[in-house]
Amino acid sequence: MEAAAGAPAAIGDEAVLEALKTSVDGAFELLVRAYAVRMRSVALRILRNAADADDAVQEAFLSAFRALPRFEGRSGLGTWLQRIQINAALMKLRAKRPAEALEEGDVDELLPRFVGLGVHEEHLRPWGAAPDAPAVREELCASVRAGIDGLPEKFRIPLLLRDIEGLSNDELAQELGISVNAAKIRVHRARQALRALLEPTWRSLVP
Amino acid sequence: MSCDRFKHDLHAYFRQELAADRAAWIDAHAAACGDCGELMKLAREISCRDFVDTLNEYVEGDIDADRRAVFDRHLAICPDCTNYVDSYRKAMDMSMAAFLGRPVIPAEPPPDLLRAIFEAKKRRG
Repeated sequence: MEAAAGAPAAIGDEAVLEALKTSVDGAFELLVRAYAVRMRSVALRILRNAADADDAVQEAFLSAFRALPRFEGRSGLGTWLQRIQINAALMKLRAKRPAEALEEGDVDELLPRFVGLGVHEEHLRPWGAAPDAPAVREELCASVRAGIDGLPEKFRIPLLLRDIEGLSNDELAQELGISVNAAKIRVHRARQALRALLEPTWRSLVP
Repeated sequence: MSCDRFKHDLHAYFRQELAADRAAWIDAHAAACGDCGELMKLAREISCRDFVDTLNEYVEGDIDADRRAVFDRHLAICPDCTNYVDSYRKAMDMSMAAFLGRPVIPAEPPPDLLRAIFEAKKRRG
């Protein structure tokens, strides 16, 4: 899975780390220019607001640069920065507590229902194959983005971090300060809710 | 004939919609008939509810071979769960495509952002 901020930088990590030895300001500028676009895309996905995202990117770069001498290189610089950016964006998000389209309990309504000894309440019809036509795909993608945006933060953030930013279940649990099992359940519920939200659009667009 | 009736009524049995005598007949037939007994065993191995509750582990490959085999056997007899897994995967794929496949931001960082970051660095060191 491609992680937005984890891909190799156009300017090599070595160049940034080497520059750090000779010119602190030069190294900072290299770092920012190499990673600002990807850091901003991570922040935008989490915060959904350009001004907030830019604040979070600024905070992330400043704290990353302070921590850079301690960067051990176990993960790539991009992956390390991605985690710092996720942290900065989540801190900003917690401070803001945005209005949510769905309440937490609403997500339960989007989960499948069972009867008797645990069989599906209703028969489920198959979905048509994923379309190739760009216009149809874009409409489905717009529906997905709207669906994810409408999820309560408790589910939206785990889904973004796991499926879009590419964190492992362990990393996600650590990021959210919850158990690995709880993290898995939140991602699963979020995907289930998204599946239910997407279904009407999918059925109307894909025969 | 009995086996046809068994298969016809099995779904209603698991929905607990059969009258008590019909349900008892299903149990008795499953005990007496090898093929239908096997089918009953498969149907009881994991419920659709348990399957759906943990299918993320199946989809992510985060399960051992024995558990995977239980899921695979359930899928072989349950079109509803088959359709559910398929649509779950399609929704996951589309959510990745929705964010990663779309250039939501320009290739270059906004000059104002760069300026703000460099100025903040000067101020705060």
